[in-house]
Amino acid sequence: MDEEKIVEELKKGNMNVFSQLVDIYKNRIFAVAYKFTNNYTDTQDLAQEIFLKIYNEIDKFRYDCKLSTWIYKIATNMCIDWKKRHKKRNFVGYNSLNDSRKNNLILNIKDKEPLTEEKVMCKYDQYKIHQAIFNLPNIYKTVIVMYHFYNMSYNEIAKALEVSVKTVETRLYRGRKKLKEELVKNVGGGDFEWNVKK
Amino acid sequence: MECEEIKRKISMYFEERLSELDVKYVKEHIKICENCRLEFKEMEILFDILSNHETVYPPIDFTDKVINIIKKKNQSISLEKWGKSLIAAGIILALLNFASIGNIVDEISLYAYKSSLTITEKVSQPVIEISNSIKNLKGFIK
Repeated sequence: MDEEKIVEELKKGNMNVFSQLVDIYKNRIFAVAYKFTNNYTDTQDLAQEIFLKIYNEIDKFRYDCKLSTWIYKIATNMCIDWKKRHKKRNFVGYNSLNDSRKNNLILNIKDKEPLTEEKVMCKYDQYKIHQAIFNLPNIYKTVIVMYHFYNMSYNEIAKALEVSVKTVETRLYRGRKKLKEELVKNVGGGDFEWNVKK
Repeated sequence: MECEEIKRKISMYFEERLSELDVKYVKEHIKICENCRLEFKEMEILFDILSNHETVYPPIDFTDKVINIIKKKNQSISLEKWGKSLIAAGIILALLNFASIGNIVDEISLYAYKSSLTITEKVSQPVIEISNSIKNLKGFIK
């Protein structure tokens, strides 16, 4: 089914097509929402809200960009809004957990089986990487998420964020630099293969 | 090419946005510049991290949950529409009733008006007759 046909069916309220759309996008949207919430339960709620908004606003889709770009734009905006609404919330940091809890988190997630909250945060390094991305300012996190997790092009990101391609390029450059600094600070020295000077 | 410029191009290198000529420049430069070589290695690892970063996955019944929420919302919307339709129908019926009451009021008013004319006629006629008799009587006395 081509994109136009999919949108047409979605606009008619075809639940089977919408269900397929959720299946296609849920992993990416869920992963990105988690980068903004840092909490599995909140991520479920936020991801559900995102899909409800997509369903309710599909009539507003005007084919002026790819459907995926439109979906990711909605998802990213809602993640940013969520972060603003929950600015003052205190998040549980890895270092504040006791050893057994830490061990529970260090799990192998190579298989793509859906995971329960207990199994969620996998390897130590993966958790640190997640924390580094989570701690990035929204302005950089947004472009990094769009480029690296949504695989959007510069033009698509520029369109979604309503900024110039040059701005996208600058934000990506600075965002990666910041992320690199954060990772060197937090991950270097462990079993993670980061410190290239060694 | 200056190191700062090379560092910008290193990102572009991993994004595969560099021309062949620039790729060659970058590769030549990192051979002789240790700082840029480190930058290149670190960026290589960063791109690798970001493209292989494993994260959380939604619960197995996530799609079903979303669809169920939508179905429930649709049901409540249609019930709401029904409710609104019923209210609208009630209002229309009330208006119709009110309109028919209005007709009755009109009829009553007309009847009252006619009655008042009759009453006036019946009440005022004797008064007029008495008044005329008094006038006649005054004439007769004079």
